[in-house]
Amino acid sequence: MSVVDVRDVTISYGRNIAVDKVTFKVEQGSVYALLGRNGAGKSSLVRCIVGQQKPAGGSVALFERDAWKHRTPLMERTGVVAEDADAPPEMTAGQIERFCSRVYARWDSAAVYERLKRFGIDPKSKFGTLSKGQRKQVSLAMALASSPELVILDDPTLGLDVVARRSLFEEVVGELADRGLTVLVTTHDLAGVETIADRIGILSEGRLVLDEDLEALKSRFRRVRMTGPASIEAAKVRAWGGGTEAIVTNYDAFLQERLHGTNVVEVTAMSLEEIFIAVGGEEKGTAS
Amino acid sequence: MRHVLAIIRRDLEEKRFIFATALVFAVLPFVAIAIPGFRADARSSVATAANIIAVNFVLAVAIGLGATMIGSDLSAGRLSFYFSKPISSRALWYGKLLSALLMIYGSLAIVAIPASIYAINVRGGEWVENRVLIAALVIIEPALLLVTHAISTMLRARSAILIADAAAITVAIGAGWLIARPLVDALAVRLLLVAGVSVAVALLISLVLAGSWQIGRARSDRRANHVELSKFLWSAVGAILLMAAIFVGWVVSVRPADLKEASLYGAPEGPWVLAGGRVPHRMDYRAAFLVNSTSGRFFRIPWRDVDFNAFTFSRRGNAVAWTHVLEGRDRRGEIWTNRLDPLGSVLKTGIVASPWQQIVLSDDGARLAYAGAGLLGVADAATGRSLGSARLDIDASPSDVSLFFVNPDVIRVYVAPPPASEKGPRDLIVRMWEFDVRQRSIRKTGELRVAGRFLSFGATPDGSRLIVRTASPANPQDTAFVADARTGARIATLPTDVALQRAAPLPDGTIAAAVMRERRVHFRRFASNGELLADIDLGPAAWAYIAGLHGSRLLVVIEEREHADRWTGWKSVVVDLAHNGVERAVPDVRPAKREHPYEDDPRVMLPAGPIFAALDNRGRIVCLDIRTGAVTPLEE
Repeated sequence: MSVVDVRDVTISYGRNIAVDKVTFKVEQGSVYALLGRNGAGKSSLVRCIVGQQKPAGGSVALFERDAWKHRTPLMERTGVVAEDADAPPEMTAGQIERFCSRVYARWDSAAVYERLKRFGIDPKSKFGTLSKGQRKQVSLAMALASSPELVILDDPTLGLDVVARRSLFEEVVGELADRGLTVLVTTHDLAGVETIADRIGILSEGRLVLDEDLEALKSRFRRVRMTGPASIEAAKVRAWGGGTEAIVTNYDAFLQERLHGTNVVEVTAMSLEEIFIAVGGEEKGTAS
Repeated sequence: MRHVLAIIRRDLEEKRFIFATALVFAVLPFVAIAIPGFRADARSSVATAANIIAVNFVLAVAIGLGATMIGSDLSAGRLSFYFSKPISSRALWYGKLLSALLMIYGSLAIVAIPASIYAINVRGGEWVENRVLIAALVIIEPALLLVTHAISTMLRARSAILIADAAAITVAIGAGWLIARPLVDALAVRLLLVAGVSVAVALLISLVLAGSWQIGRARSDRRANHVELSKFLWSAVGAILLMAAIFVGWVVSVRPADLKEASLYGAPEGPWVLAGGRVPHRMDYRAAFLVNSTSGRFFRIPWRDVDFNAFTFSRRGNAVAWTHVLEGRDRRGEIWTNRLDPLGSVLKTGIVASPWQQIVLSDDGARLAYAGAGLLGVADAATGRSLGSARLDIDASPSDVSLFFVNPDVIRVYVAPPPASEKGPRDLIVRMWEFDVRQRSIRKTGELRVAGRFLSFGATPDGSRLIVRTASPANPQDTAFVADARTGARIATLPTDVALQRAAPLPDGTIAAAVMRERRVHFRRFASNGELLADIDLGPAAWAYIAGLHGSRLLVVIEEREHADRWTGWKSVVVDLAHNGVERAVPDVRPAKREHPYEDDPRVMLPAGPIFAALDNRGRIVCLDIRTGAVTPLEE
């Protein structure tokens, strides 16, 4: 069953089209990482997915129900960590927990306090006085306390230090291991998500340019270095020392066979970050 | 409901400083009385200080909460905190709204109640004022809260739609004024109040629903919130204004036949009659029409113009003039005229003066004279062009002045003594002037003096004599007498043993009067020297008046009562002057008494008939033909 079903979604702001006919699905129990550069349309898409924004075209369904029309009951089954920590700054972590406990049908207060303790956050601390990373951690603690079936993380590691990033993803991974959660995550932390994602989507200038299982993706992308000019068809080719470096997107056993006896000197697997740069736009820099 | 309560609880927790501040303000008035100078009337001082603090503090709370309850979270991008949870948009809006109201009313109670209890037994008036003030605040606060919320949402969006909002507000205010204006013109204060309160309540409900709609449709998007709020609000305002317009359209759609208990004021000659009064199911709305009782043709006149102001027909009934009350001119009026035969359109003469000025038309309707504020003016009725003016060297209010055209070039002016405040007799003087239009000069022609409490007079239709009546005269001979209309010289004394209900000079020089004696009405006719020519007993009556004359037929209207306080009906009696007898009596019909409350022409000119506009016993306008006694409904 598709927990998240995004179909032909278009989002526009005036004449500016932020998201253009994007379609993808997130299957139950899987982790879907939606990648994209700033302004690619990730956050707009997430707002549509959580029923906070109505798309100009297309539809979004969560648990096979329209996300806009049935937002309220759907949010009982969904935990959300927003891109910008959005809790009122004057509320303490404890007050936020008490407020949430009143609005969710299922709520595990002990789990919240246990996580806050693990994150090293005092429940009496005002949300507005916490660091950006701590706010994300508080939000995550709240998002997971209602025992959601789906967790949506909108750039959860943005602004976090290395330790905090690791801690956050470990929490998600821990929950995944424990309860088989479905996760939709948009992130810049490609290294972090590479270890947990089942499927990858890449948004570029509002269009979904890639939507594929991570393993399949990584298996077909290869960096091939040759002593002379490129002797194979490649997505990208650039000079490498005295020879050539090519990125191939169709690496398989047949291609592996073909490369034997050519001027190829090295074939290496690519990291998700390298694939993202190759697909999402190298010239403008790294993902941010 | 659980979610609404959760929102309320959270907001009250967040803004509990408001209650703390209210507590401080509640104590302040009691601290103030410790200041020397306030101790003399401590309770009053506490009540006054609490009033001032309550008004300012609670208004500030309402404005502050209205601006922030949704707006601050919206502009800070924090509404997503709520929307990422299973909280419906309705629960969010109504939770926020109710918590804001609780804070407003709670802080009002905290500030006002201690001072009110302290002051309650000392000065009743002060407490009543407090209660009125508190009641006003209780009503105004939600309105202020909601309006501030709407403005805050619009301003925070910082979008170009603000221009459309400003245009919509301007259009709505303009449309509202246009819709309300017919009711303002009709001086329908109660109806305006009820309609205004209804519209205000509808607008408040719209603002409440608009907030819910805005949050439900736009959720956490700041600009979309503005768009959705504006869409709903202006649609609702449009619908409310449309309904108000339909309602006002229905109110003003009355026709002369719809009038109930109308007052009628007929032209001396011709078929035109001014009909005005209340209309069923329209509260205090009153309409006025100029109606042609023969053809049924009519046109509307704003009630405000005819309610207290001068309104006059020409003697031939071929023209009419009145004072139209101008907007925003501090009760100033402009004289308007209208040709009736042939029927023309309204002429705005441009002559601006007090609405209480006296205006009369020449007998042929060609000229207009007006007097008031020490000035007499004459103008062409068809164009408004001034023909001359003169200062009236008198110290009298316009209501004590009356005037008429002796001929198209001469206007005679009477200045009567104002009503006395003391009970005993005093010198009563009527002064007489004549203004010559060709020479543009005014001169005093005479005066009339009696001693008594009050004096009233009417002139004969030809303007040659006055019939004068004096209340509580020092000399019984002054009770009723005939005087020269130009000089005031006494001509004859009328009998004084009866109460003259109304004396009407007839064209042949005799005087007709309806006279009450021992609860019966007598028709009496006097010669110009006061000699009694005829006395006809018309039967038991409480009151009577002479309503018209057609040839030798005189129309007398009698109010019949079984007891002093029990009204049983009216009847019209046609007296045959040639044979000094009653020709016929027509029951249940009451022709107009030709006496506008502010009639400015002293000449008593009975309507000429033979068709008379009248009211039947149900207050509807009918036509009475005194030749046959036939009563027919007014045909429109």
